[in-house]
Amino acid sequence: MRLRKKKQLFLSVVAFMLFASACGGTTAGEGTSDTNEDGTENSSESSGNASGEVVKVGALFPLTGSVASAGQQTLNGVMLAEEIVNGEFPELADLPLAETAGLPNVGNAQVEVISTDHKGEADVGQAEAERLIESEEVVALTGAFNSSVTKTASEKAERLGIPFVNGSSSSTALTEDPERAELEYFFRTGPSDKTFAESFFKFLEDLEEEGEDVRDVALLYENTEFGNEAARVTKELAEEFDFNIVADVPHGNDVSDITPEAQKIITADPDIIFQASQTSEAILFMNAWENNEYAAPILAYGAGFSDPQFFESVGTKADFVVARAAWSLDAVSAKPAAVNVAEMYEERFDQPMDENSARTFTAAMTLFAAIDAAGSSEPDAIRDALTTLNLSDNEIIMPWEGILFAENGQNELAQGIVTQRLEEQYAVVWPFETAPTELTWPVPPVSQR
Amino acid sequence: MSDLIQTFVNGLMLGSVLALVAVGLTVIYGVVDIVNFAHGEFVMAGMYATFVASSQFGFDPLLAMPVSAAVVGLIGVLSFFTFVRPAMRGTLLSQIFVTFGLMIFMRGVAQTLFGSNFETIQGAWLSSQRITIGDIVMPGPQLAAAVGSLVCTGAIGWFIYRTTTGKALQATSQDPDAALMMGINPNKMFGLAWLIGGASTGVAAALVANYQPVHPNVGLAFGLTAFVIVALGGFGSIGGAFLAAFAVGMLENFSAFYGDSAYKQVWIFGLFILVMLFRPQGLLGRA
Repeated sequence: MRLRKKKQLFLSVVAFMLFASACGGTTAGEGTSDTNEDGTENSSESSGNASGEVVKVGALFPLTGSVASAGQQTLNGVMLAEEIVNGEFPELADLPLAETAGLPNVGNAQVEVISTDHKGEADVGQAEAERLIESEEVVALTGAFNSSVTKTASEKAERLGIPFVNGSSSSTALTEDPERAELEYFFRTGPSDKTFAESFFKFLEDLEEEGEDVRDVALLYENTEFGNEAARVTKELAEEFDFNIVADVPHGNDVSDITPEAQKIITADPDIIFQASQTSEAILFMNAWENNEYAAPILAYGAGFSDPQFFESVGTKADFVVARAAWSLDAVSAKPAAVNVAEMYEERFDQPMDENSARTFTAAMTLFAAIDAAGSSEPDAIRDALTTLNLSDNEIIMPWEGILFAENGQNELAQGIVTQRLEEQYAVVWPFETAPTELTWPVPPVSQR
Repeated sequence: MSDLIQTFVNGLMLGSVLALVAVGLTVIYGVVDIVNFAHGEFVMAGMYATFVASSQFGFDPLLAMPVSAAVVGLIGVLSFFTFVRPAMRGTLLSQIFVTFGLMIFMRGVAQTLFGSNFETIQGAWLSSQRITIGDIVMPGPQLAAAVGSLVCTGAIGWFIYRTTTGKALQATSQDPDAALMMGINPNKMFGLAWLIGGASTGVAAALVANYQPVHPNVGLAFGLTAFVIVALGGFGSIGGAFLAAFAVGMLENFSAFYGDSAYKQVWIFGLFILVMLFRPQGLLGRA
């Protein structure tokens, strides 16, 4: 009897643990989300203008939780855009609205950014989007970093008829899913994972022209929406560009062992590994390559490979990793406004501008330019202005040709750049003709770095 | 052929480590008749103890093993006397909730003390060692973890089955009231079981910390796997846990290498369901 009771108890425990691991346990750090219950809303100071008109814009970002540090950077980008639009910055005359204070076509109205924390949770993001629209009466939204939150929050904005301009979510599905492509109020300034993957394949073709073997590629990705989506896009493009996939290896999240997955890659002996993993597994695989004296070059889809924690953990082992990026200071050094904005950013927030803040800065500037072009704070007028907005490469701080939205809301001029980790930072190494830094190839085995 | 041998060796190495993690759980469960929900968090605590000993005091993780064992053993004993013993007088549900609460509490403490960052032990002696026989590679950290786990598991088995105190533990496990009549203090034995369970988990944690980053949620994967192993092997059976750990280690490596790695957990839980259906007492459990 006692044993039977024990067994029942034990099985219920295992079932509960399974349930708990399926529901939670994605990454470290979720427990921090309750640390600032009252700090979720942060309305920036706004001095107002002569007519006293203020245009309110909502900003949704993950300010607590496992990606809080990146989330703060994304919000900082938007805050800097707000400051530039509201003030007078003749040195940034290339950028729209920088030279004059406020929005000239809207009676010199000031912009007020009302930020809120969605904790990286899709349902919180959706509820916060609704609250900002209904209670705070914002006329447009920007955010939300996590692709999953961008999805739910922008769908809420769509139903309420409020434009949503995203700069920092890369999931291809956001603009290419048939249902999503029909959204009328969603716009994305930044590149999608597909655009990023295309840069990788063009980079590899250029590398091949220089006599390198790069045709056999392996896919290594986490078994989540992010990883599976990156893998799907890579597989599609591999077929299009005629590359051979010699290994297709998904791995779990928050796992204790990745040995068989690493062995599978090593046995397949690819020329290149496409990897989409979060920090914990990125570290485990890097250790596995070191233990096996393995040297296949990694082309990384952000995530763990852009987390400072990853570099702290693995140190120089991460040297020579090639990563996709949407922005890098050395890629825009020829644009004085971009350099000035990066300097201002560092001055204000005491840390260098990074890819995430540059992307959200650009999304916010685009939105403000559209409000001004609309000459009104009516959401529908802003939406119409976004569909016809056309910014040239000089008017943005990104290394792209400009901003022009396609029918599905995707900026068709957005591009990815290819960087390589050299001397503890990512440097632009492709396109080869314009890159300020030379690619190091072939890369030495991890154990010799 | 070398792939087959390499996969087998990887399975052996993983199985050894899982065995030690699971033995700690099965000892507590077998003697005290309480499921320690916080077992994965005991692994996490041991890894943090090793990390602190290494980063603050310069101990190599191998030398930090006794520190980790002492810290987690102490956490085990303290948990028993402060939370678990009072709950044993309550209902089954309160026994479940007390260790579940301990799990959340320990994660919260780790989060407060160390933040949610990933911490890695730098410069461990083992991390640059490896043994290569032909095409077969055995990385130093994993090999040491496997050997250390085998030695430690063997020592626990010897202690429980061959010493007088071990027999007293077994007696308490079988019938605490009868054991009391024989002059054995069940509370002491319960405390001892938590000490052994905690300390052995601490040793496993120090060995794992050689090659795995530590963060507040690192215990989740270890805890869940340990529960499955203990249920597979037979409730409270050290031999059973040992056998089941190797079965899980092999199954994980072979299924992921020769099949689709996305489904490796499916194989393990599939085996678990099969065993529960046809031999509910576990591989070596008593009916």
